[in-house]
Amino acid sequence: MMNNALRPAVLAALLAFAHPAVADDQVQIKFWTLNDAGMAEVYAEAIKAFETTNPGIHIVHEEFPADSYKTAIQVALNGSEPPDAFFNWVGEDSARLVRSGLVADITAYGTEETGFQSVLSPAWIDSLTYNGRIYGVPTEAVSKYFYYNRSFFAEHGLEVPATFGELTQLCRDIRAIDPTIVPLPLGNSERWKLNHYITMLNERIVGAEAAADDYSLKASEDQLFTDPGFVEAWRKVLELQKAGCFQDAPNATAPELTRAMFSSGASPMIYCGSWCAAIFDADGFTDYAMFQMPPVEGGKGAAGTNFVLVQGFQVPVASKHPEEAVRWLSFLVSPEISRLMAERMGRIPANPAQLGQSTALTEQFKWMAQDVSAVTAQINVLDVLLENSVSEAYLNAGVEVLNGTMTPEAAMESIRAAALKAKERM
Amino acid sequence: MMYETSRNGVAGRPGHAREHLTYLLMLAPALLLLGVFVFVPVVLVIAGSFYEFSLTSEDGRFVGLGNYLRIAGDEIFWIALRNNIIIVVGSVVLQVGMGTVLAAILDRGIGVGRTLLRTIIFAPMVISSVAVGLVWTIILDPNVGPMNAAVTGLGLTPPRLGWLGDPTVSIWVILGIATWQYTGFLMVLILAGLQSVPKELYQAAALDGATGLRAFWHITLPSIRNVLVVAVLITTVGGFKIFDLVFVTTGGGPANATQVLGTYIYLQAFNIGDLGHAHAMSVVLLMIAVVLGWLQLRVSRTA
Amino acid sequence: MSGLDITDLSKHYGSFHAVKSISLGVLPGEFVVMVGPSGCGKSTLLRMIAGLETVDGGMIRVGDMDVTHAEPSKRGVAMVFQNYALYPHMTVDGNMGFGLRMAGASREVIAAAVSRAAGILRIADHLPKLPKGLSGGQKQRVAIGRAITRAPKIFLFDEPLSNLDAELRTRMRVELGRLHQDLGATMIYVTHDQVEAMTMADRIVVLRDGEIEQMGPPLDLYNRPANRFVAGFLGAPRMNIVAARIVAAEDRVVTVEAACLGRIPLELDVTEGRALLPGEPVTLGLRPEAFRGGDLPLRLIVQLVESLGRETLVHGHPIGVGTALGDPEGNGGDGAEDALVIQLPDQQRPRMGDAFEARTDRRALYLFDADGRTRRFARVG
Repeated sequence: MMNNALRPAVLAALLAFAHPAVADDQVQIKFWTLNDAGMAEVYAEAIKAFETTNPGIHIVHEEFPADSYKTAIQVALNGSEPPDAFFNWVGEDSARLVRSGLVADITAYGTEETGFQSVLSPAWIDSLTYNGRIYGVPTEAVSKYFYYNRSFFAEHGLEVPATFGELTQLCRDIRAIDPTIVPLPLGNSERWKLNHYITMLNERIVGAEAAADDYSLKASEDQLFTDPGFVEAWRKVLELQKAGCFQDAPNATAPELTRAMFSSGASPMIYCGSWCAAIFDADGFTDYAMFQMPPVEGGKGAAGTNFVLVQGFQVPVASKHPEEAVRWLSFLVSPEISRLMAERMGRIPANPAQLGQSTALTEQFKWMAQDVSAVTAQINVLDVLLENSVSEAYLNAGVEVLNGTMTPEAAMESIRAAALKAKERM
Repeated sequence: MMYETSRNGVAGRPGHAREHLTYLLMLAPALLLLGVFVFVPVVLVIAGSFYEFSLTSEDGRFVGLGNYLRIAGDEIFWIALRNNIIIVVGSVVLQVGMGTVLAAILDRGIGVGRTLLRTIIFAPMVISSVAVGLVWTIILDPNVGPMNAAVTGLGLTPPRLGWLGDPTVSIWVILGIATWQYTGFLMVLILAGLQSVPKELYQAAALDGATGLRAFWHITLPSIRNVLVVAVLITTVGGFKIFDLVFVTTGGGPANATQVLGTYIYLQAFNIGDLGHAHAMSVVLLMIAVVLGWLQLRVSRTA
Repeated sequence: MSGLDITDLSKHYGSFHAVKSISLGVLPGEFVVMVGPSGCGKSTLLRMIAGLETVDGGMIRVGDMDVTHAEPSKRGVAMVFQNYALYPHMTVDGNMGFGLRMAGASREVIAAAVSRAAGILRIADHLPKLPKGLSGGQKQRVAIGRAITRAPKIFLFDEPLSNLDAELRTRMRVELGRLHQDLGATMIYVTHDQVEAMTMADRIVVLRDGEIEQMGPPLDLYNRPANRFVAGFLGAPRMNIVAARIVAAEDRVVTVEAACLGRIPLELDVTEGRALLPGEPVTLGLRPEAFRGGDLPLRLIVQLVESLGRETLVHGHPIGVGTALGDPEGNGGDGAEDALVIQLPDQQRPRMGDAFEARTDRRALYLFDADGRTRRFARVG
C-alpha cells in the first residue's frame, strides 16, 4: 500500500524520468530578447504559430532588461548554457562577437523559399554580413527623422528645409515668431541624442565611405580622424546652437522631456527616432510629418543614405541546433510576423512586403517604412559602431561642445587621441 | 567565582576542544559565505588587475603592473578620485556637521513635535538612492524643474547649463543631494549618542560655568566622540562607495565631470570593456577601504 | 564664609507642588542635612539652591547676594552628585580644574587649587587618570575634590554616598565630617539615610511633601520629634507605634489604654492641639532600645530574631492586640503596627513562636494624638 502523502512525490519522480523521453524527439530553441513592454505577447503568438507548423521544434523565450543585456549575453556566450538565438544590435556589438568567434556563420541556412535569405533584401542581409559570410538575421530597424508640427509649419508658412543651412534658418525664423519657443529641443542628458546628430552630420560632411576607415580604426595613425570634415560636423552643431535651435541646458535635459515638449505642441520640431512616432501617437499627437537630416552644403555625403540602426538575432557558435534556430528566425521575418510587429509594436520590419495592405498602420509609419527600405546605405550610429573607448570619447566630446567647454578642434583632438590608443591596443 | 571553578574543574581540556569545534561549526556558514562572496572575489580581482582582458576574451594577457601604470596616467581616474574626496570631505563636514547640529537641537531645544521632525528628516534615508536620484533629476530639471523656478523667484540666476549639466556645479549638486539623503540618518545616530549622555554632566558643567555652546564643546562633543568617529567613518566609506546616486543623476557626466571611482570602474568594465583597468582601479579602491578600516580600528582603540 | 537664606521658596511641576513656601536659614560653616522620603522635595530644594531648577516664588540668598535667578556658576556653590557626574573624557586633574578653567583662571592658579584639593582628599596619585580607571569611592572623592577646587561659598551634596557599599559609606561619612571641620565650609547635604543625617549634621531638616516638618540638632530631633513622622523617620530600627485610647483625662494627665500594655497614666508635655478626651484614639511610641527593664511588661509571640552579636533584635506580635480590644480596624488604621521590634543589649536566643516578655518603662513612652503631633516625649537619661 502506498502512503497517501508519498504518492504525489513518486508520481512527480516518474514524470521527471518521463520528460527527457518526450524531449528527445523535440528540439528546444532557447530564444533571448530584451523585455520590451508588450513584446512578450507578440512573441508568444509567433511561437504558437511557428510550433504548429514545426511540431519538432520547441521555442523557449526568455527576456532580459536592456541595461544588463550586453553583459548577460557576453557572459552567457562564454558559459556552458548559451541560448540558441539571441537579440543583438547590429554594428560593433554584433561585429565584436563575430571577431571573437562566439557566433555562428549561418550562410548555409535559410536559403529555402521561406528562408530569410530569400525574403530579405540584400541591403538588409548585408548589415550582418562580415567578410562575405552571414552572421545573423536582421529583423527590424530604427531610423531617425526630424519630426515637425504640420499645423505650426502651415500657420507660419514654414517649409521643410532642403539643406542644413535652411534648417538653421528655420530655427531663427521660429525664434523670430516667438523667442520663448525652443525650435528643436535637445535632451542630451544621456549623451546619445547629440551622438545621433553627429552621426548624420559626419555622414553628410565627410561621407560614410570616407569615414569608414576612421570608424574601424583601419586608417593609418597619421590619418586617423584627421579629415577636417569631422571638425566641420561639430561646427554644424554649434551653428544649430547659435541659431537658437536648442534650449539652454541640453546636457541636463532628459530625452523624455523633449519628446513631451514636441507632442504637447510647445516645440515645433524634434530630431527623434522612428520609435518616437508611436510615443507621439500614444500622447494623442498625430499632427506631425518627418524629414531626413538635410544635406550639408558642400558636404561629401552620398544621396539616399540615412541613419538606420538594424537589430536582429544571432546564433551562438555553441548552439547545437543552428539550423532549427535559423528556421525560427526566418519565421520571424516572414511577411505575416513582420506585419504583426509593425502593427502591434510599431517596429519597422526588415520585410515590408505586407505593410502596404495594413489599415492599422498610420500614414507616417508607412512613410517611414518606405523611407527606410529606400535607404541605399545604412548609416550606423556612432556609439554602436565605434570601438567602446572611441565611442566614449565621442559621447563626451558632444557634451563638452554643447557646454562650450571644448572647441570642435579640441573635440576631434580628444577623439583622435582615444582612437590612437584604441588602435594601439588592437 | 563559582562559575570559573566549575568550568575549569569539571570541563577540563577535552571540553575545551569540543567547545572550539562547536564554535568553528557555528562560524562555518558565515565563514563559507564570506569566503565565497568576499575573499574569493577579492583574490580574483587582485589577480585580474595584472591582466589585460575584456568580457568576451577567453584568456587575458599578463601585463604585470601595466594596469596600475595606466591608472597613474589616466586623467579621469584622478578626476574620479578627486570627486570622491570632495564627496567624502563634503559629506563629513555637511552631513556629520548638520546631523550633529540637528541632533543637538532636537535633543535639547525642541520638545514639541520632536518625533515628527525626526521622522521627516530621517525619511530620505529609507528611499533608495536610485529613487532619490530620479526625484532630484526632476526637481533640478533646467526646463520644468521647481528648483530653477524657486531660484529665479529669489531673484537669482540658476546655472545656464543646468544644475546637473554644468561641470563646475554638478558635483556639488550631487554632494547636496547626498547630504539631503543621509543627514537624517546621521542625525538619528548622533541623537542616540546625545541621549545617552547623563544629564548630570550638563548640570555639573552648568555649575562649573559651562552652558550653551561651551557645554556643547566641552561636554557634548567629547561625550559623543565615539559616535562621531563611527559617523565620520560611515560617511567616509559611503563617500568612497558612492555609485547609484551619481549613476542615476549624471551618469558621471557632463563629460566625466562627476565621475567617481564607482561609476568610472563600471564605465571601464561594462561600457568600454577594459576589465583589467577596471580591476586595477577596484584594487586601488579596496586599498583605500583597507586603510580607512585600519584607521577606524586604531581610532576606536585609542578612544 | 557665607550662610544661606531661603525665603518662601516654592516650585511647581505642572499641578504638582514640589516645594511649598519653604524658608530656611543656614549659618556660615553650618552642616545642614535635609532628609525625607523620596518625593519630599529635598533634592528639588537642593537643585533650586544650585540653580539647576528655576524658582517659581521666593528668594535664595548666598551671603548678602540674591542668587534666586543667577546662573548656577555665579552663585558661589558647588555640588556633588549621587552618580559623581565626572566628565568621562577628562582626567581627574581636568575634572577638578574644569570650573576654574571655565572661569578663566590661569594655569598656575588651577594647578595650585587642584593640588591643594587633591592633597586634602589624598587623591594626588590619581590626577592623571581617567574616571573610568577609578573605584566608586575614588570617584566620589574626585567629585568632592572638584567641588573643593572651586572654593565655593556653599557645598551642596545630593545623596553623595548612595552608590557606595556600606563599609565605604561609613568611611566616607567620617571623612566628610572631618572635611567639614577642616574646611569650615557651609554644607548642605541631602540624603534619605537617617544615619548619615544623625552622624554628620549640625542641624537636620526633615522634609515631607514639600514642607519642613521639623529642623534642629540631631539629638533634639531624635529625642523630641515634633510628630510621629519625624519620630518614625529618625532611628533604626524605627520607633514602635502602638494603638491606644484615652480612657481618662484630667488637666495635664491622661490615662491611656493599649491592648498590650494595659492602662497607663501619662503626663502631657504639649497641651495645645486637639483635645484629648476619653475615647479619643491616640498612639504610643516606644523606641526599640527602650526595653531595658522597667515597670511595664510587654508580652509578645516571637516571629523573628536577628542576632547582631552586640545586640539582638526580636520581632514579635504583642499578645492581646486585635483580640483584647476587639477592634483590629481601629488598630491598624492609625499607623500602628501589629509587629514590634525590641532591641536587647546582649545576646539572647528566644525561640520563634514562643512567648517572650520584655519590660519597658512608662518614662520611655511617647504619646501622639490623632493628628500625629507629639504630646508627650520620652524622658531621656
